[in-house]
Amino acid sequence: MKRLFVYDNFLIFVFLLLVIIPILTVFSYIFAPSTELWGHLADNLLYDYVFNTLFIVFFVSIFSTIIGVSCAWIVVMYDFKWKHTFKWLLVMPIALPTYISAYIYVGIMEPSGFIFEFFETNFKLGENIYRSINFQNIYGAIFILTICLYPYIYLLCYSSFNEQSSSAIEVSKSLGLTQSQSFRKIALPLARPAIFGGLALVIMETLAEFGTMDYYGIATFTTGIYRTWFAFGDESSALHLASILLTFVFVLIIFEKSLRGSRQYYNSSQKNNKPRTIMLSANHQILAFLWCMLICMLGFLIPIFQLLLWFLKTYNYLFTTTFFQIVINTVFIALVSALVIVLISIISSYKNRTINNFITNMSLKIFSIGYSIPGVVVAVGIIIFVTSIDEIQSSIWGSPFFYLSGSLISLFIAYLVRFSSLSHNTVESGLTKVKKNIDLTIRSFGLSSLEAVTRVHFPMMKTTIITALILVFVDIVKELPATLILRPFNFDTLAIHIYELASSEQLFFIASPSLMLIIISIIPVIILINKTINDEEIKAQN
Amino acid sequence: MIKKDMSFIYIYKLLSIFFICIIALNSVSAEEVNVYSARKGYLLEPLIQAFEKDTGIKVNIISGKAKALQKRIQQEGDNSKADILLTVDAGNLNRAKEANLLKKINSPKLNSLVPSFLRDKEGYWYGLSIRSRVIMYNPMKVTVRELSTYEDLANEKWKGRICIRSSSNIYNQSLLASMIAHNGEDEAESWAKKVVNNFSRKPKGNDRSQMTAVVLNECDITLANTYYLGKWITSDKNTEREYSDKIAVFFPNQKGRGAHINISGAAVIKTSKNTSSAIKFIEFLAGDKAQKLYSQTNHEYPIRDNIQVSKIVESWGYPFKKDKLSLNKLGMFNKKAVIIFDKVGWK
Amino acid sequence: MMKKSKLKIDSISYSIKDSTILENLSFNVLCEDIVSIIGPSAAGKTTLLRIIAGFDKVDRGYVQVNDAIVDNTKIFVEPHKRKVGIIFQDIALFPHLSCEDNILFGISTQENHKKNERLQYLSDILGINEIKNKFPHEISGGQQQRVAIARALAPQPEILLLDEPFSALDEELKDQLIKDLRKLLKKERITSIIITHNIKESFQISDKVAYLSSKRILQCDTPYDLYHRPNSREIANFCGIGSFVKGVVIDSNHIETSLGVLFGNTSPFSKNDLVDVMVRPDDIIHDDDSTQSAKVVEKFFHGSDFLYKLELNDGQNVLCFTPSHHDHSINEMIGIKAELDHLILFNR
Repeated sequence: MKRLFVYDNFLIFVFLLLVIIPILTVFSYIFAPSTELWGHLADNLLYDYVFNTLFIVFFVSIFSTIIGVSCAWIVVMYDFKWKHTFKWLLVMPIALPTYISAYIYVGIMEPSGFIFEFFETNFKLGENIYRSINFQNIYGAIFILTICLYPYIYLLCYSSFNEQSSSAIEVSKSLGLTQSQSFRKIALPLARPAIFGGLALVIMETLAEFGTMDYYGIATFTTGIYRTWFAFGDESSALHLASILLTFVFVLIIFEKSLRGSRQYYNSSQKNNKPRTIMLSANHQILAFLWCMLICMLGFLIPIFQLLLWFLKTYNYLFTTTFFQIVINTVFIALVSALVIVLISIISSYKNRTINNFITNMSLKIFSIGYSIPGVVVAVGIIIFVTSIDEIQSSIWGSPFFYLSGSLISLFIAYLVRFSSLSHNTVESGLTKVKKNIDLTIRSFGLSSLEAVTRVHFPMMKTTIITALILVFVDIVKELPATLILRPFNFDTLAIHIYELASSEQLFFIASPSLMLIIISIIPVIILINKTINDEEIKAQN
Repeated sequence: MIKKDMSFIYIYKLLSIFFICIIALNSVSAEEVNVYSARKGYLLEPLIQAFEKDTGIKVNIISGKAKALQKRIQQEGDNSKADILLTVDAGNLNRAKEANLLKKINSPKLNSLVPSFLRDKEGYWYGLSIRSRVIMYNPMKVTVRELSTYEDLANEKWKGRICIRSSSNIYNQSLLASMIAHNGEDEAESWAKKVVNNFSRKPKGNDRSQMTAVVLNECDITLANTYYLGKWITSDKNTEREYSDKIAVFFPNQKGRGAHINISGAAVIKTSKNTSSAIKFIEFLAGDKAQKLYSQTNHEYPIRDNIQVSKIVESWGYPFKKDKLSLNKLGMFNKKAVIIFDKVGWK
Repeated sequence: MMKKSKLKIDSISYSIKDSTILENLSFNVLCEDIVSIIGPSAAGKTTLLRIIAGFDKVDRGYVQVNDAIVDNTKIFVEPHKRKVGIIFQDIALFPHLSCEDNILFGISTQENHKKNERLQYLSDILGINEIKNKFPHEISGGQQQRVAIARALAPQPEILLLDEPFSALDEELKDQLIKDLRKLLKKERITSIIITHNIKESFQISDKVAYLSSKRILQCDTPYDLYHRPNSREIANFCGIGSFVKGVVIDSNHIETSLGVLFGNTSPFSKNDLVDVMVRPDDIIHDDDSTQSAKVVEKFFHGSDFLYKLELNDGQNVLCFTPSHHDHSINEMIGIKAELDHLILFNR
């Protein structure tokens, strides 16, 4: 495929720089000289940051794996009441940003929450409810992250179990193994790449999580970085912390790649039957149903229910000008950023077709790291970068021609760093499929390259492009920490607004913006569900 | 190639729209007074309207968090469009001063309107309203006789009975700073440590959460700012109004130095291009009309004792003995306070 | 010596939702027999296998292996307890295990020396020694099939079930594998049931062939008997190509047809009954010396022979296999002779 246009190299190079520099900036602070404050941090807080972070990561990993794998297995292998509903309902927590879940669960037990009010009005037990369960601690954080992040593992395991030859389990039984032994020796090992892939995502999200940790008062790296930067104003120490966190993330990436590596766990036969489901005994059906129901309620139904109740009390808020302005802000920045990011992906994907050299390969690798880097880290890296550019401008022109710091440009760069890879992967895989078809079309119909591109390419790429746009758009809308740090004044997004409402004890007002955010983020979830879960049904019917 | 050109033009158009929008969003007209405010917009609305009517000068508000505002002004440097910094807590104002962001004002009017311990000695910032951090308690569980001073909170008799919000909050930091100023670092640290031992639960939530905890019997006393109770009393939620009956206010250290107070205040930014308009606005906020509004709408205390306060505010006891510690000190000792909090594990 | 019954299926029925797949099906397999199940597609052959293996439960009737009932709607023995080996159409080797580990999968709890002995023995017989350490995705389809067989046989199952085991292989491999498999099954004395849609294969490998259609087993006989004494037209057609010629019964041994008078047992029909006689291509011999002749209407070249479609004097068609050096053209008249060794008669 020919180059798209003359400037593509330059453009890609510029954006590549924009992504790399903040990352390198943060890294460079690994060897930063210690300030007086660092001594204090190291003595009193560093241990807490490391311990809390590792503690949370460990338990979230275990619990989300247990939930994800068990639900996927039950839903694929067995027949029980409502299983077809649970199939997709179990994915829904992805549409609920973790920090919103965190706020809601605290609110439920407090005077404006439905559980508190239920017990108070009916039994006068409000006080007891209020004091019984406390979410705002490390265990609460583990709970919230588990129920919000398990869908990653669930989804991947679902695909894996579905694709495994159903005959394999039956053969295993014919050779004398029970159902559970077959699960352990056949299904589980085959699902290993899926489990680890999902787990990697879960851990990265956990490491990057800010809103929940902030609200629950847990000292972790993300909150530590934020606090050191803003409360102490010590940029150097904040960046030092950021570099440590970044190192954790890199270790994780390398670890995951090596684990995924060797074995080819694909099905070696061509024919693949739809898995035959097993009918469960009445008792087991009840258990399966209850387990899935429990998870769905905790992860999605209860939070949504509470939000709806709050919404009924506060829906007037929807019509205030503040809210309207916020929605406009959010849509504007997300849309424009998404458009540019996807455009860059398209250009660089095309590039990759022609010249397979070191630079293009590296650019892809770097783009892909961005997604794993916590928003806080990206933000502080960008501030330094952008401030120095302003200073350079000052030294050249006396005063910056255009202020980068505190402008939407910094925010845009943050989104670029974080979400390029998302867009790139989507566009890339779409393009690969298209390319094959093009070659065939060209050959069979004798079309020229241009005609092939315009008449075959575009229609097919349309879906991919739209998908990429939606995915990036939604992720930007949900993003909290980087936006919190980098946004210009009077520029609040939905996420920021929710954060501030929650912090100022106006918890129930989060209903309107939260519901709006959730509705927006449900769209890619539906796409995701169609791609994985419903795809199987269509394949099986054919 | 057709496609080549199309893409290029597309990108070009997109980026230019992008930049234009950003510039538009970022620009603020330079003719009026630009206030960077850490106080919520709705608090200032009535005051601004009154000012605009009286003087015809337009006031633009840009709101944000105190520290972010400061950082922003710093980064904008000479080109900053800010004229006035409006914020809560003397600590924040002092920081801005030390960061060389403020302009020294010489206004005899302001000096007469604002008592000296409520403004910067050198004329860099002025307090515009007072709030006090007081003990709020459950009258069913605690009698007035048991209460006396802040220092007393370290006493073992309060074990398991105190809820206070996180140390990350500036109000607590300023309180501790005032204690460092009065009692010295070592005393302050030992006090903080003992108070932490008396916590009935780990700090979580803000002042109103603590007050709720007191009403719901999770603890007996807390420290909170006075205006929060005002908000509960005038709230349109039944529960909050109910709760406001179940909690009472106590001003500590009345026999000694007086209750800890803090201010919300204003300062003129060094790089302001509209200094005279800015000073006019601050003078307006310090004037009688505005001062009355501060009390009526926000349940705060005016800076002069002769101003009429709202009935609600009066009902807690007014006037009360105020700690006349120079508020400069709150800023000075802020960092030390934060370090002490970390050391004693007051999260 | 009378062979004992290995598998006894008595009047079972099986339905999914509203459709009945098997109804009143009975089926018996003797020890050490290799039985094929043939029949039209989607007749329920795979379902029958799954019932024997225990993956589906019967709605009525019972299934008995040796002397024990494994399924009679009240009692149900789980698949993993039945010692019934199964090889599916998609082979289903475990992709994450080497071939060796695949084979040992069912006997992993045995002592090491026993395991290895068995592994070696099966590898030798099936000729898969070189690929023991490879993984399924690294070997060919034919090799995978052999590994699957070894895996199923390792635990010495009571019954071995195979669902279309040869369908994915090409001709040469198939032939050799069928021979080897039959030898192995006989040596191991394993009772096996094989589903296949290929008549030739089933005749080649089986002791008995069962025809499953209309939800039941319609006939179960030796291959020869099934071919030469089918119970119905359907089976007759299924087992091989042929045509029907009108005939009239003369007496208990003779029939009058356009091919002349044919000899053979005509019971249960009686004199003057109108019947259709099944005439296979191998029943018509091309004889230049014969007085009877027929016109060549179509011809198909099969390599070693021709299949001629011939038209008799009265317009009926018959098929004829001839060695291919007898190359005649269309519309030519050639001499034929009917040599039926016995009569296959159906009511007209």
